[in-house]
This record gives sequence, C-alpha cells and structure tokens, in this order.
Amino acid sequence: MEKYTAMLLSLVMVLVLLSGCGGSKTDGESASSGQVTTFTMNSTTPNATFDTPIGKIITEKTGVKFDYMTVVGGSDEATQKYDVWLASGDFPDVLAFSPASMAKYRDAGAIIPLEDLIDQYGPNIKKKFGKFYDLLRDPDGHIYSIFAPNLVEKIPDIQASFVVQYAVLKEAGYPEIKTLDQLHTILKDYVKKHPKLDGQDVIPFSSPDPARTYLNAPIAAQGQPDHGEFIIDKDQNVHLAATEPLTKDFYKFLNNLNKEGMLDKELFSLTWESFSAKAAQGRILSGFVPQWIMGGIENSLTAAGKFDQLYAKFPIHIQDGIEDHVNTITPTNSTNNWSITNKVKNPEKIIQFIDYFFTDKGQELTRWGIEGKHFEKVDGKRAVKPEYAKERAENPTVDAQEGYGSYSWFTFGNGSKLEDGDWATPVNPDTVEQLYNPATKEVLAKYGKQVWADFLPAPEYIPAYTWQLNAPSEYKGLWKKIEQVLYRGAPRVILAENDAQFESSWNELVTQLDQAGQKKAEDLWTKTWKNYLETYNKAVQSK
Amino acid sequence: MQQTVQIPPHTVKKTQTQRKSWIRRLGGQYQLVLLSIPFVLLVILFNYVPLWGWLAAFQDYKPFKGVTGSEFVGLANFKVLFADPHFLVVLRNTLVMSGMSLVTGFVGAITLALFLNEIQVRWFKRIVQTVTYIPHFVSMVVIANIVLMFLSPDGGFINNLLMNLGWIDKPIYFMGKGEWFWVIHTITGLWKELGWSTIIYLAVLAGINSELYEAAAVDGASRLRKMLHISIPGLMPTATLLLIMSVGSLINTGYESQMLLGNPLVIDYSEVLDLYALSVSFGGGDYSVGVALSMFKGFVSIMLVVIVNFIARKLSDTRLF
Amino acid sequence: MNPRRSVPDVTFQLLNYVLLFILGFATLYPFWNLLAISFNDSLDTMRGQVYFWPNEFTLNNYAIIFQNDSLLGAALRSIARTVIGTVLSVGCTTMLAYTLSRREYLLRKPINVILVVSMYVNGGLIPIYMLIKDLGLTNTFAVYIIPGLIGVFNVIIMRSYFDQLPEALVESARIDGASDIGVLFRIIIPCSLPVLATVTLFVAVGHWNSWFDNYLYNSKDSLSLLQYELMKIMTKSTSEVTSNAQAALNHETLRQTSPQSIRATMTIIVTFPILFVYPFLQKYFIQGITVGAVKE
Repeated sequence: MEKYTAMLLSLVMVLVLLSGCGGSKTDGESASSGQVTTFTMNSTTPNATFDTPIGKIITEKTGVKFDYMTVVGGSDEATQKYDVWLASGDFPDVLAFSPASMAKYRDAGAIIPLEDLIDQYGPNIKKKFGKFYDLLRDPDGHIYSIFAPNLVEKIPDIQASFVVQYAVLKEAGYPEIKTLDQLHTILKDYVKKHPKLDGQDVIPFSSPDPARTYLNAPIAAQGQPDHGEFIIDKDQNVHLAATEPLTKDFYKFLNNLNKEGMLDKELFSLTWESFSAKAAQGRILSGFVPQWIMGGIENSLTAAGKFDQLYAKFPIHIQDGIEDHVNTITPTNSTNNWSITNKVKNPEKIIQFIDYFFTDKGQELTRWGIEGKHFEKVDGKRAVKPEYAKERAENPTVDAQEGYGSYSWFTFGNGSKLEDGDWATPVNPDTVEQLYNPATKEVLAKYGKQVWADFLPAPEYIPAYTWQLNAPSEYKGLWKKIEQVLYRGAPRVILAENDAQFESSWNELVTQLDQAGQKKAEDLWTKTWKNYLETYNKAVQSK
Repeated sequence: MQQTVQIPPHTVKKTQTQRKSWIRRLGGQYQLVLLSIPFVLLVILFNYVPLWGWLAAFQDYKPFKGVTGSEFVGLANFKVLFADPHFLVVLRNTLVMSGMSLVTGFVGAITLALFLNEIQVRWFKRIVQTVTYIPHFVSMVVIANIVLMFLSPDGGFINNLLMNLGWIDKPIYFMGKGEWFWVIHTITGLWKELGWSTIIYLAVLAGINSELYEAAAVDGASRLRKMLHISIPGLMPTATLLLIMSVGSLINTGYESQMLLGNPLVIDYSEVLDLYALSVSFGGGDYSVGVALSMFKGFVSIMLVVIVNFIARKLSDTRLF
Repeated sequence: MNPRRSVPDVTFQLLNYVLLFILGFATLYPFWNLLAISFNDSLDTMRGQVYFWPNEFTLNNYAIIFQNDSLLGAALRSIARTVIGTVLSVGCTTMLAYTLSRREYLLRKPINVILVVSMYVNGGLIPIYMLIKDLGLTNTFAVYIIPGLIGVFNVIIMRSYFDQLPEALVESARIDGASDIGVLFRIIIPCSLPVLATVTLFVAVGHWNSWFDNYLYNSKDSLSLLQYELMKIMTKSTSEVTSNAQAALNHETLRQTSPQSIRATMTIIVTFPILFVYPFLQKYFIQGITVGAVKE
C-alpha cells in the first residue's frame, strides 16, 4: 500500500511538472468588447484600475483602458522586473518608467518611435509642448516616450526647505531669518530659556537623513536649484557642490552647532521614522526638511494641538546677499515616461488616448473630477464641492474609489492654467491659503505674507535639472567613488571636535574627492549639460 | 601522517562484470532510485540549469542581447569588485560579523534548547518557546528601529538608565562608534533569530530515546550529568551538520540588518559584501557585477564547506557529504 | 517526577525559569509593540511614544487594509499554497532524505554532493526567470509549488535525524520482509514526528511568507497571494507619503494611516495565523515521542 502511495506521489510530481510545461497560457491579448481596446501596462500604483466613475468616463471618451501589471517594492525591484521583462520579451503593451529604464528598452528596439504617430494623432500633445516639443526627441531624432509638460506659471505650494518652529519665532519677535548666523543666534537664545519640552531636551537643529544634511542642505543654503549633487555656475559649468567654499561654510555652521551641543546628537544615524518621531513630539526647533517629509509631521503636530511647534519655511542662506534660485520650473517633467512597445498593433489608439489628456476636458477630469459631483464651476472658476471635500476628510479612500487624481499622469502641474483661463488643478494659488490652519495664517500675517511661497523670489525657468538628463555612462562609476568619499568624509568634517580637526578633515575630504575623479566627473557633466543646452536652445528657437 | 596507499575506486579500470554487477545492484535498489532520482532531477533543473547565467559575469550583459549577444569583457566585472581599496575592509567585516553571528547563534540556540528541555512545567515551556521564536516574523526594519530607539543618545532607554544609575554623566552614542557596531549587529541578530533556530534542536532532543534518561535517572545522575552525557551527545550530529552548512554561508550575510543599523560614522565596520555589491552595481542596475559577486560567493562557500566537512569527518563521524 | 532533588538541581531550575522568563519578555516585546501600534492612531504612532498599549485606540489601520476587496481571495490562495505546497514538499523531502539515510544506497554519495553544492550556487535572476518561462510556469499556480519542492536544507536535517534512529529498528523490519518503502512508512516516519513537524513548520512558514515569486512570475490578480497584496498596500502607503502634496497640505482633516502603522498591522495579520497553527506542530517537538513504543 505505502509502496504505491509513495511511487504515486513521486510520479504525480513529475506529472505536475510536465503539465505545467504544457499548461495553456492565456496571453495578455486585448479582450476587446465593443469599441473599447484594452492594453496591458505596468503600474507602480498597486490596485490601479479603470473601474471607477472617472476611469469609466475616460474609457468612454477614449475607447481605451488598461490592464495593469503591478510593479511593487522599491526601485530595485522595479528595475529587476523591467530587466526580466526585457530579457524574456514578456513586457506589456505600454510602459511608464524612468528615462534610464526607457533607454534600455530603446537600445533593445523594444519600443517604437512615436513622432509620426504624434503628427497624425496627437495634435494637442504638440500644441501643449509648444516650443518645447523637440525636447521630447532623443539624440537620434526620434521620440520614444511622452511625459507631462510643465505649464506651471507659479508653483502654489512650493516652500523653502529650511524650517523653524513658530515657538522660536514668537520668542524672537518674528524676525525674518535670512542667514545661518541669524538662525544660530536665535536658536541659542531660545534654548537658553526653554531647554526642555514636555520633560525632554529640545533639539535646535536636525535633518532627516545623512545625504540631506551634507549634500542637499548646503546647496539650498547657497540658494542653488536642486541639481542633485551639483551646482551650475554662470558660465554653465557644472561643479560638485561638496567642495564649494560656501559648502565649507555650511559645514562650519553645523560644526559650531555641534560643539555647542545644539546639533542633533544622532544626526547621522537618524531614520525618517526616528526623525519624524522627534519632530512630531515638537522637540526639533529647526532643520533642513523637504516638504514631503514635513507633511506627516505637521499633521501629527496639528492632531496633538501643538500649533506652536509647527514650522515656518524660510530660504535661509549661508551669508547675506545670496540670491535665491530654489523656485525653479523646468519645461518638462521627465521622470515617468510613457513608451509604446513593439507588441502593439494599433499604437494610434494609445496616442489618441494620451492626446485626450492634453485637452482641457482631459485635464479637468483627471485633476478636478466630474462636474457636479466632485467640483462645481461658478463664474468660470472651478472649486472642489464642499460635500466632496467633507467626504474625503472622513474617508481617506474615497479618492481611490472615485478615481479622483488616479489618472493624472499628464497633469500640467499645480499652478498651471487651462485654456479657459482657470487653474488646471485644485491646488493653485487661490486655494493653497485655505488649506493652512489659523496658527499658520497668524504667523504668515506677522510677516505680511499669504503663503510660504511668498518668501521665495518669483519662479525662474531653467532648461532642466541635471538629474532629469541621462547621466554620461562613465559618470556612474565615478559617482560611486565620490559618493563613498562624501558619505564617509562629510560627517567627519561636520562632527570635528576642534577647528584644527575641522580643517584637516575638510582638506582630506577635498583631496579624496580629487583622487576619486572629481575633475573628470565635472568635465563629463559640463559637456553633457552644454550639449543639452545646445539642443534646448535649438529646440526653443526653432519655434 | 599515516600513509596507507589506497587507490580510489573510480580510478581502477572497471571490468565488464564489475560494471554489470554495479548496475544489477542498483537495480536491486530500484525503490530507492525511484524515491530519489525524480527529486534530484528537479534540484538539477532549478539549481544547476540556470547556471548558464554565470556567463554574464564575463560580459557587459544587456538583457535584450542575452548571453549570446552581449559583449565579452573578460574579468572586468571581477576587477570592479576586487580592485576597490574598500574590498578588503568589506571582506573583513563580512567574515567577522557572520563569524560572530555564527558562534553566538550556534551556542545560543543549543543552550536555549537544552534549558527549555529542562523545564518541567509544560505550559511555561510551550509559552516561552513560542514567544522566543516570534521575532523571526517581525521585519528587520521594525527590529532595527527598536534597537536605534533603545540605544539613542537622545532619550534612549539604555542611556537614560545608565544616567539615572549615575554610571555615566553624558549619553553614549552607541550607533556612532564603529567598534560597537559588530556587537550591536550580533545581539540584534541573536534577539531576532535565536528562538527560531532553537526549533531544530528541540526536535532532535525530543527524538532522543527516553529510555536513556530513565536509565540515567535510575543510576542517580544529576540533571547536569544527563545534559552532558545524553542531551549534548544526542545533539551533536545535527549541530555539526548545521555548523558546516552555516560555515558555507559565512560569506553570504545578506545586507538588510547592516543597511538599517549602519550609518556614515560606522560604515568602515558595517559595510558587508552584499551591501557593497549593491553600491558597486548601482543598486543592482549593473547585472553583470551582481552575477560576478554571486559566482565568487558560490566558489568561496563551496571551498569553505569542503574544508569544514573534511575537518568534521576527521574529528567525528558526521559529514555533510 | 524525580523525588530526590539536590540543591544544585533546584537552584539551576530556579535560575532557568528566571532566565527564560526574561528572554521571553525581551523577545515578545517587538511583537507586542507592533500589536499596540496596529491599534493606535497613526498620527500618534508617528510621535514614537507607543510602547505596550495604544495611546489612541483605533481600528482604522485594520479598516484600511481590510477594505481591499482582493484580500480575501488572496488569503484563500495563500492558504491553498501553504497546504498543498507543504504537503507535497514535506512528502518529497522525506522520501529523498530517507534514501540518503540508507547506507547501502549506491547513489548516496553523488546525490549528497549534488544537493550540498546546489545550496551555494545561484545562476541569477534572469536565467531562472527564463527557465520558469520556458517551462510554461509563469502565470500558473504551480510556480508556487514546483521550483521549491525540494528544500536541500530540510533534506539534510531529516537525513541526519533518520541517521540517528537505531539501525536495529530497520533491521527487524527487514527480517519481517519489509521493502524500502515499507520501512519508510512503517518505521521511519512514525519514529520521526519531531523532525517532520519541524520541517513542516519551516516549509509552511516559507510558503506563507513568500511574495517574490508571486511578484516575478504571476502578474494576474487571480493568482495573487496575501503577502503580495499586503506588499502592494505597503507600497501604496509609502508612495502616498512621498508624492501626495495635497495630503501634505490638508492638515486638519486627512487622517490617513502611515507606512509605519500599515507595516505593524500587516505583520500582525500575517503572523497571527502562524501563532494559531503553531501549537498543533509544537506538541511534537516539545513533548517528544518514545521510540520504544514503536518498536513493540
């Protein structure tokens, strides 16, 4: 008896294996019902669906819907999946991914050129990109991917990344903090009077993670736009920000804070979680905190009623007289680029689909929702319906159920306008202020401002951020070395115990960066940047 | 050394009859063959067949070109790995940390199994055993955050305790001291996995013939004696096997714990091979370098296993293969 | 049990209880803490001051996870995978391990070498994917079961356990005329319940917790597993934090859950079934069995 059971089991296994081989595999071929064409597409948003009120309207208008293949986890997992797809040919009909992944597919010939299709089926795409249309082209002259244009006139919700607690400002009589020295003095005075909050030590200055402290913060403190690890000078030469003299001054500021016990004691071993905890307890007085990390913290503070521990956002500079260029706008948002793979038989449908989002109707539907249900229009001005706003407040998942904001791949951006003259999105200069709480309005009133963006100069158009461009291939290896040096070296400079040590650590850092190939990295990037500028100027002037 | 000249059987030229008799003998074992060969084939299919992918280690592999079309670059990918001045430090960290984890985990699990085995109150034994294995299911992110919070110089439990006891007058920045990292990493790992790795030993202890204990009890043996003379010898074969297998994995540490607990101040102590590979292959973007590392690790592991297996064979009866 | 208790024995016992109690407390804490966090308001959790009990009790975190329609189906599939996968895998592993414990088996040595080496070599993601695809296993349930059918580690653990069983047991069965398969079922398996329970646990937990094969090979929702669905919710909550400027601005109203709370709640949801099933296996390796009983 057992004999047969065992043999059977081992045979069954072999059979299962074989049947697996022959198992029929229904391919992702589009199941067309009526006039609707279904394409497959990757999605980094889990459980994305067209089965929502807004999604259904989009399908109705365009005759297209998508079957999503979800890509979860971090960017590593995503890259793995895209590589595996490419190697096996299992990729979906449409892919939206980073320019780097797109390049791999382009080199493999897996995605098709789109310019002829756009000429024929994408009049609105062309129209909205306007003079920037040629920026979509790769060096070979073809267009392989489409992404959102940036038609923003004024970024309504931009804010500087240096933050200071309202309590600190109140104590100091609401000065407008412009330099790090000023901040230092104000913090020092405040800590002397209020060393503790709820029985725990306050932390005068902190930042959520190491790279933000030594890489991003000094660039912002020099008033430079976010070019990743770089600063671009007036002659359009690219420099590594880390060795700029002003960066040294910034490190010195942190070093002085540290010597006086005013720098977060665990600045370099903080995680977002532990940083958020301290900030949400209200203990962090000031710091360099990007907007998207700030959001949750301020929600938590507000929920606890700690309005004095909310933060003002100032562009603080290393020294007086630095001009701020943080408020920048680039012509495109090339980060999530749509490409059509060579599997698709009717790519014109996809172009038409995309084209729909370049119309007022498409924009309205994806960002404002359905008229009468999600928003209403009075005197040509759109506003979120109070009923819907209330529903969202009570049920955080209602947006997903409605599809509200779920299809905004091609949004023109907050602060851009539709052809009818109204704002394209609900987050616009008219509404931002309404989202602030009374405490914030009060603080802003002391400075005679309405929104945090008012502390920044008027938006400035720049051709691109360096991180939007394809890095020169040799640079990757160099950056690995440079990053290693910075990661180890910069904290040593900042935490140096005395001036002599500070100087020697700084010099060591500079030497090591030089050995790691700083010069070459800068040259490579200067070349890439200038090449891009040339393309850019040509593209813009030809119109 | 003893010199007994022994010709390995396979070098002897087999005569027809010998071969025939071997096949016949195997035929007699057809049941064993049936119970093993299908599964061995399965292992070969899923573990050995994909090894053609190792070719990518010698290429500038591009997914769409495959190993047949990608450019051959010789040992360049290995050079990327080994040429870096950090490589030796990274190798040292890897071996030290996995060595520490191996020894503490090994001794800890056996000790815990033995101690649990001594508990007579059954519900207590069951509860403790259950509770100790739970951290295995808690993700490293959570564990690391608890450790960081616990050791924080800014109001962390340990520093508060030491300050209140008056043992220190200034908080210690545990996570900022390179020399502490190995210890913290080891204790964290022990905390998370100790109970889980005890399960095997408990099973082996449960399988020891209870007559042995009864006989010892009649002889008036103390608990300690029974432990030393029955339980520990009973555990040894399994323990040895597990030890050999983990020595093989010495170089294969993973990187999660080091990445989550590490920071710029201790990177020279915390960076391990897998973490390093992630950075030199640009977060996994350079596929070939990843394969080269995986190949390197495979060879080192197999070498280690063969050596340790050889030693174990000399010292005891147990062997892995 | 033993009427004569010496002083060192009693001291040892006492110490043992105290030590194990402390250890138990230390290892329970992370899970207990997650339990508290899962029932705590996410904005309060952010402040990092939840230790043993929720500060602001809420069921919101669970509500957010459970409102996912796909969860129930995924959970059922996960159970199916775990049950089918474990039964097949433990069965096959036992058979293979048994053959390797037979000293007279002629292929013992080469098979051992093949198995051990296979633990340490890895051809990389792409070749394995291509293999799975060529076998037609992508987008099938079988891909969850077949590639991992034989866990070499488990084979070796079992083999070692079988090796330790008294050879006399097998011999006496042989004299009674039992075949190899007969010996396996009548003698070896009944005597090896502790190690079978252990391997069953390892395999079952492995199946229950895995999501990467689901992610890589099966993109259809109809084959999606619980861990993967939870992984998606986690990804979503992380990306909401980083990308949703609107949420960041709505201070007063939006009380969404945070990645931290989702992670805690997820851990509780997936770990509870294991804790529930565990005692049924635990009794086999905590209490032990008497080999003598089988011998009679």
